[in-house]
Amino acid sequence: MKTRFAWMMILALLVAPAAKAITPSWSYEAAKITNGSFPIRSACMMPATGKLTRIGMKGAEGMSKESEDWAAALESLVEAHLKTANVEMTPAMSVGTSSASAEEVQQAVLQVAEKYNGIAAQINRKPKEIGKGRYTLGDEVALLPCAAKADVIVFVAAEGQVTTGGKKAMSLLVGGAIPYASLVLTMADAKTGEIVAFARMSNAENFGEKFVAQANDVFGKALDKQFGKLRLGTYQKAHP
Amino acid sequence: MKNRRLAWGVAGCVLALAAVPVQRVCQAQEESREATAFQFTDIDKQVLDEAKTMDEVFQHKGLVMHDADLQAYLDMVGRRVLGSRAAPENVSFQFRVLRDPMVQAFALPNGTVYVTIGLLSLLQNEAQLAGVLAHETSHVYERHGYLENRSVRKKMLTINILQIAASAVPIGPNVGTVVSAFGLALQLGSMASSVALVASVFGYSREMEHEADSDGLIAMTAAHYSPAELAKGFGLLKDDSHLEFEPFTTFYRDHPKLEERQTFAAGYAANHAAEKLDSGDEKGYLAKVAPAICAEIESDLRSRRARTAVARATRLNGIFPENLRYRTLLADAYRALGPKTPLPTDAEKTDHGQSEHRKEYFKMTEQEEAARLLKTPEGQAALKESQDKAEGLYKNVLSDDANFSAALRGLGFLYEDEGRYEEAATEYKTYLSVEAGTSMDHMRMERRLAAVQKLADAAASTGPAKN
Repeated sequence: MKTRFAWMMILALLVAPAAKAITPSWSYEAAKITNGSFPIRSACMMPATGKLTRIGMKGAEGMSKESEDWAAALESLVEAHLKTANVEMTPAMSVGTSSASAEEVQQAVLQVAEKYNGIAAQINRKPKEIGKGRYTLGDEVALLPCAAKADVIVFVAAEGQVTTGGKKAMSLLVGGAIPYASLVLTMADAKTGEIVAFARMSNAENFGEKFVAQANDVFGKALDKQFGKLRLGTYQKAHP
Repeated sequence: MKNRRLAWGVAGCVLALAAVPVQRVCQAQEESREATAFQFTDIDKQVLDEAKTMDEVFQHKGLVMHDADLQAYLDMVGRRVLGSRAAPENVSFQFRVLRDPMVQAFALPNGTVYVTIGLLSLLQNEAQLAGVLAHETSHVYERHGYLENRSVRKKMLTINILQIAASAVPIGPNVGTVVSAFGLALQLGSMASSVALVASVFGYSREMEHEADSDGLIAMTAAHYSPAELAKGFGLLKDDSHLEFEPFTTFYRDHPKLEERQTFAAGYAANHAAEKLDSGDEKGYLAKVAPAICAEIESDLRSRRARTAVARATRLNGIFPENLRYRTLLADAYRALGPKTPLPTDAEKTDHGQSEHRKEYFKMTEQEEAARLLKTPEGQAALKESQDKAEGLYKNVLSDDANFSAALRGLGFLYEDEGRYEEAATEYKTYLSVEAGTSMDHMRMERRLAAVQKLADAAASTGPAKN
């Protein structure tokens, strides 16, 4: 028993740093991105969604406020990386030159989010089908004032789980919930609503309560890698 | 030696397992005492904070509907149900309409009661709404959110402790199964989100829900609303639940519970049959909640719920046939229905049919589902019927008001779907001349016009085949 426990601790210590460093990521894109006929130089950023759960010895607890903070941090992170690639960014809530009120724009954002939620399940099941132009939000996306000048509309959705100290110790002993963070990024043509790009990245590190501060550590490199593959902005030049 | 250690380990597990039912009895007694003399603990205060955050998130994301008349109506019914009862500690009752097409209502432990546009659209009168609000406020009065949270936390801790105890026992042929069983239970428990608020939204324990039903019926009767209407409301929920696939079963859709609740409410109402209590008329109720119903229909159309959109719009149009907006929404709903029938077939209502519907929802896009239906004669017939109805309704609206922009746009979309590009272009041009150049839809419609004009020109240049 003591020997087995010791080996488990050694294995956990060996695996942990490696898990920290790795954020596997995948992306899929439409043919018009692969062949360079649809350059992405400007984007409209939808409000990001994030769901964090804390798993402790007394079960799971939602983290509503922390989820909102995390979503905002990830939205800023993705925006910053896109700006670094010389992609011009506009928030979806921006009224622009339209005569719409802020509340009307907010409702339009909700409507577009609703359309996205309606096909998100299919996209997540078979993201490769993006290459065949299978998925579309319809041209209602053009209701957003920001869509007038944008090439794409960007959706960011994240999910994560953190474990408390007691739960972590318990997981080492008997297995159970593991910490993780995953990010899904989807891009839709701002004129037609066609889904043109999809990227998914996951990390198994227990970033504990530093999910906001460590957002770039966890996802930064994976974002750069996938933006390069998607031929965004200056990434197109750096990764022909 | 080894056998003795194994025996002690098994005995320890058996004792721990035996403690669980004993603990359950003690917990039930404790919960009963707790409800009558509720003292806030630190854990309860965390739940309260979480509830406040949820309120803020709903507002921040624009999910709360802001319509002054609708809000005033909801507040009026809510206040009437509350009567002169004082609010408990840390409770401030507020009633809000949530922009969600799912049929649902819930109350957070801090007293915020949410009713979705989906539920408002289904109910028939004010008394049914009062019954829902009375049920939900009862959960708050009885502190069910906090009690459920405490109960589940204790159970989770028990499961965790049992698992640690089990893991200390050496693996053997009799003990291995127990350990893996505990592991599985822990995995399932760990996947749950915030217990108190999930319970608020999706339903509490059977006993708590029954208590809320009972208290709610008393409260609505005291407010002079007929409890028979709540029983009728449960019937409506049952009949409506097969229209669409829904990703999860909410408390207001759960069938075995609905039947039990309907029977209980009907029994209570029978004891109060002699009293003259208010039901409220359907027309008056619909006039008050019409903004919510319109929002719900539009949401249904975006969420692959065309059948529900047709049902709601038919009802609204039937009561207010002179209203052009409602007639246009009905036309939009028929256009979205396409090759589907307005009501599910008998085969679709069966468990197998529902299961197939669920699979299709996740496997196919809306366009693929329509294409599959159009391969059948029934789908083609349904499409023709839907399109004819939609066209008739749009033209009917435009005969009353030739510049009603929503109908112009809808008719243009319909013509475009049917390949009648020249006619579509005509409707789009009229729409663009009527609507302001800075309207949110202008750019989209300009692009549509350009696209159909190209298609119309191409069709015209190929022309009919010459003999």
